[in-house]
Parts: sequence; C-alpha cells; structure tokens
Amino acid sequence: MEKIAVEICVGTSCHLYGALDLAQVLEEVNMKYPERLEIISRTCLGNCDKGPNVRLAGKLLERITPEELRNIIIQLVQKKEKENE
Amino acid sequence: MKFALDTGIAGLAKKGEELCGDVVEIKKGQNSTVVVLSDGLGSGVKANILATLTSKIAANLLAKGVSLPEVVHTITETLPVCQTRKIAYSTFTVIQIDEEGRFQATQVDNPPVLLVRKSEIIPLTGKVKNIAGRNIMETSLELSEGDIIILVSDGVTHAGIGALLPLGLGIDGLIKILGNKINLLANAQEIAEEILEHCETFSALEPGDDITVVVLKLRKPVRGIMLSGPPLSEKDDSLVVEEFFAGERRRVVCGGTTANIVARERQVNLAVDYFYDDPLIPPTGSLPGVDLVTEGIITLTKVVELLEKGAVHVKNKKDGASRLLKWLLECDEIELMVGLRVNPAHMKGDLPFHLGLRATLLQRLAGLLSGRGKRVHIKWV
Ligand code: FES
Repeated sequence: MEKIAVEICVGTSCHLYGALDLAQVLEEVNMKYPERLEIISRTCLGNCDKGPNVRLAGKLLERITPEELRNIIIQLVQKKEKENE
Repeated sequence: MKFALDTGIAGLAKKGEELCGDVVEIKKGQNSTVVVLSDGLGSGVKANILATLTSKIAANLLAKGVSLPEVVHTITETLPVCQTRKIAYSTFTVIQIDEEGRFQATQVDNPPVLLVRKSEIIPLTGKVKNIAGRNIMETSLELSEGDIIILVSDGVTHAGIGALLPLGLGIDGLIKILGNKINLLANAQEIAEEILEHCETFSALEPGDDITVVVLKLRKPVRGIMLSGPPLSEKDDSLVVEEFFAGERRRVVCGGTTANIVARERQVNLAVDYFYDDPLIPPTGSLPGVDLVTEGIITLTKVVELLEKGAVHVKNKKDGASRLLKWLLECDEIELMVGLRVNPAHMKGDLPFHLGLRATLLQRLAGLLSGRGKRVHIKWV
C-alpha cells in the first residue's frame, strides 16, 4: 500500500509553537498503524508565523493542534484502508 | 601551534549547597594557557567568593606576564587567613602550559597533580618552598602529545568519607580508578565526568564536600568551523557555502534555514530527525561532509546557558545542544561564520521569544569559548 507522506516542521518557530506534541502524535499513530506513514522532518515549511505546521499528503495544515492532527491522520489512514479492501 | 589543550571540567557542590566552593579559571594567553583550580575554605557562598578571588587574581596576573612565583607570593600575602582555624582561606593549584608543551605547576595545599603518560599515572612532585608561611611545591617538565594532566580538589580525595570509604578515596585510590576503570582514550570532558561519577558513587550520591575535576589533554590542534545564519545578502549564499567547505577542518551547521541553503548549494540531501531527545531542544539533522546539523537560536541559547553554568555534563547526551557543545569543546581553533540575514518569520507573529538575537548570542558564545581556552574568530557574513 502506498504510504501517506507526512512532513512535520521541527524548525525554530514550529518548535516554539509546539511541534514536539505533533511529533508525539505521529509516533503514536505510526505505532498503531505501522507501515502506513512516511514521516519526514523539515526545518521550515515557509509558514513560520502560523505554526506549528504539518504537510499531510501535500496539503499544508497550519496552526494544527495535536488532537486535530490525530483525527485527520487516522481518518486518512482508515479511508486508505477501505479503498484498498 | 604545536600542541593544543583539550580541557574538561566536571564538578559538584556539596550536598545542600547551591554554589561550589571550588573555582576553576582557564585563561589563554598569546602562547600559553593558565589553569587555576582554587578551593575556598568550607563550602557555599563564602568559599565560592574566596576561591573566585584566588583564581581570578592568579589567572589575570599570569596572563599579564607576571611570573608564577610572584603570583603565588601575591596571593598568599593578600588572601586572609581564617582567625579561628588559623588556616588559609583557600588552597590552589596553578599550572601553565605553553604551545611547545612546556609545563609548570605550583601547588599550594591541594591534592597532588597527576600526570598520565602512556599507561603510567604519576603524582607530580617537585621542589618545596616556603612562601609567606605556606608550603609551595613547584614542578616543571616537558609534556608530549597524548599526556594527560589531572587536577582535583580535595573533595575527590575525600570522596566516600562518611559513606562507602571511611578513609576517603585518597590519591592512591584515584590512581587505581584511573588505571582500571576509566577510559583514558576518551576526550578530556568525558574523563572528567567519569571521575566525578565515581566520586559521586563513593559518596552515596551525597557529597560531603565540593568536588571538582579538571582534565587537560595535550593533542594536535583541532580546527573547526560553524556556520550559523543565512548571509546578509542572498547572492553571497554560494560563496559563503564554498568558504565553509574550504580547508581541512571539522564542520557544523547551526540553523534550519542555513542548513537548507547548504543543501541547496551543494545539491545534497538534508535529513532531519523528528525524534526529540530533549523536549526543549529541536531535533538535529545531517548533511554530507558536516559533523552535525542543529536548529539555530534555541539550541545556541541552551549551549550558552550550559557554558555559563561552568561544569558541563554532555557525556551520553543526544540532544542538539549537548552534542553541539561537545563538538565545540573538542575544537581548539573555532571559526564562527555568522550570517546576519534576519529570518522575517521570526519578526512577525506571536512567538513567545524575540528571536532576532543571533549576533549577540554568538558573541557571548565566542567569549565563553575563549574562556575555555579556545582560539575563536567570528566572521560576519
Ligand atoms: S519553522 Fe516551521 S514553517 Fe518555518
């Protein structure tokens, strides 16, 4: 199955806006659904003043909270699974 | 420069005390380095002040070219003697090592200085003189590459009293540990921290006295360059990157945007971790040909903070700040290439810090590193 690309920004601004919590969510989802995510760290996604930023399957998610990120990713993973059934 | 000094300092204050009564001062002059370890009587604030006075006076006079015996004379004559206990307020060891490896030590009541040469560990002895009523031992010798000099405060030789070693570790005990338990091939900082760990264990983690260890290792000078911040003018990017990679030296990049510029100019891939070894420090990355890539301002702020504290603990730490600090401590000559372009993103938004302080921060870093005996040069780009 094709993996879902998740780019997480760990640059200075996003770090200060709470990128660590997002990284933890990614870890958690990655454990629960192994081999589904392709996690890539970035040092900047060019949207620093609206951090923390994550680019999920090409779409930029700004000012994202850990809960929102968890929900969106899990939905996406489940949707992909259905499509593949 | 024929030799450089790899220096490591590790220390712990007596249990319950904020301030350590042992003070280490390292001063690098034109061609030589002066190291002073002073132990103030007792512990806490008073001891700290006395030890600081001793170290500063000695280091500054020596750096100004006053001879070692004169300096010792000045200190022993000036510093007070405790009225009740009739003993001097501080004990100290002063050593001077030049770039040719010539070594001189003056020891005033501190535990003996140790020399590690190949697998031999020798407590240094020498002529004993009486200056201003105190016994002063002077030693001079020629050091060669690989030699290690170890200075400790009596907190080390007394380690274990009241806990695991009724008579304390003693100098023989320390020599035994050095011979059997400590990896003397490690760098100076790691050796210092390892000695400290052993002392802590013997004291059952509750040191009854301030403990300080200074390790100096003679080696060939290591040169390094750090690039931090994008150059003021974008059209200088490629030139700056080219200069950064010129010559034979170790390299670090400090700053995400800077790392991206390097990757772009060299047409290589920048890999970044998303694991946080320390929740407060952004993850590190890697670039081909570069020892380490870290985030910029937050990491640098932390490095400066750690250096300002004096004794550092970087052994086994994996976060960006500790690794950067370790890298810096391993270098003898460091060029800081500092880019002055301000990241516009740091200027807007509601970020909790003001982040436009790279230049000030790097100046502070340069000062602190010189204080550790490094030869530092800042180049603004
Ligand atoms: S630091 Fe995250 S978008 Fe710039």
